[in-house]
Amino acid sequence: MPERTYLGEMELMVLPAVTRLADDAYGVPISQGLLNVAGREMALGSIYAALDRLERKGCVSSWLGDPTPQRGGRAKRYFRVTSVGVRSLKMTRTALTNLWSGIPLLEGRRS
Amino acid sequence: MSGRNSDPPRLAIWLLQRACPGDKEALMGDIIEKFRTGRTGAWFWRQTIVAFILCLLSRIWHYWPYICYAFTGIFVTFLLGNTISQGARAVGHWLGFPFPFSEVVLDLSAYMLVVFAALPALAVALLAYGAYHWGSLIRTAMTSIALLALHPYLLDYASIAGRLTQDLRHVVMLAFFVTLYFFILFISAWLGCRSPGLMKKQQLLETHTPLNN
Repeated sequence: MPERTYLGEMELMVLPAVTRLADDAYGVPISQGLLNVAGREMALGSIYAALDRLERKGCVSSWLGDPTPQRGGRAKRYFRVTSVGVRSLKMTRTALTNLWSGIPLLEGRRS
Repeated sequence: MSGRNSDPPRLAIWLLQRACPGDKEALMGDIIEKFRTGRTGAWFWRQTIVAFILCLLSRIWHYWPYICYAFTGIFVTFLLGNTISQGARAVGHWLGFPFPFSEVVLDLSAYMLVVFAALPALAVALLAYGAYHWGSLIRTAMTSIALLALHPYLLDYASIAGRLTQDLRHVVMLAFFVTLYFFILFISAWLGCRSPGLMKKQQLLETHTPLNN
């Protein structure tokens, strides 16, 4: 049985956003994706904190891109989801789906 | 600072660079890039403050073995103070030194009991941190005992307490001693644990801290 990697709330939001963006996942699009999909505007510092935790857990890997003028000559840090990250996402989705299923209130029925 | 200007607030950038030493280029670049899409100076400041706080917390987190040691020392001192002083008196009596050496032994043995009671917490924390080294414990113990033994000679507690009203004296002096002991034990652990193992581990962690990007 593969080792279970537990994800916190922020990590649960950030990891799917990184997965969606594929090879263009860096701070700005990740934060924009979270705003568009989840309707939450998060501070970039918080996103980086979550990304760092995910990297330590082996769920994402990162590398530096080239500096660009609109960023004041600063490089982008790109992130990519790893196989551990994909597995964690799948396991978390299964666990949450199981937790939420069979609750009449969530399915529009009255208990 | 609140207008829509393409130049980000310099003070905010300076603050971020000072609070988060190391390579913070990517985070700063992201904040600047998003700021130039029409965000306000207030937004930039909010981002900076969040990054600043998270960076400080991540740096404090690196010192948690020392914090464990300091809190254990405080706990032992203030909750088992009477037992410790009785134990110290017993040690002094057992050794049978003449005055004034007996007083020195009495003081030192009380501090030694506090330090040796708190050292297991540091040892366990360092083991968990992956930076255990017996030399660190010895250095920490020696530094702690020396600083604890010295502080009564460096600070005039009677004059500090004398300036306070009767109602406040107990609370203020308790808070003062808790802070002082925390500071002494934390600094001792910090000085004592500068072993290559811990430094290597710290360097490894610092390259992966939340805002070290």
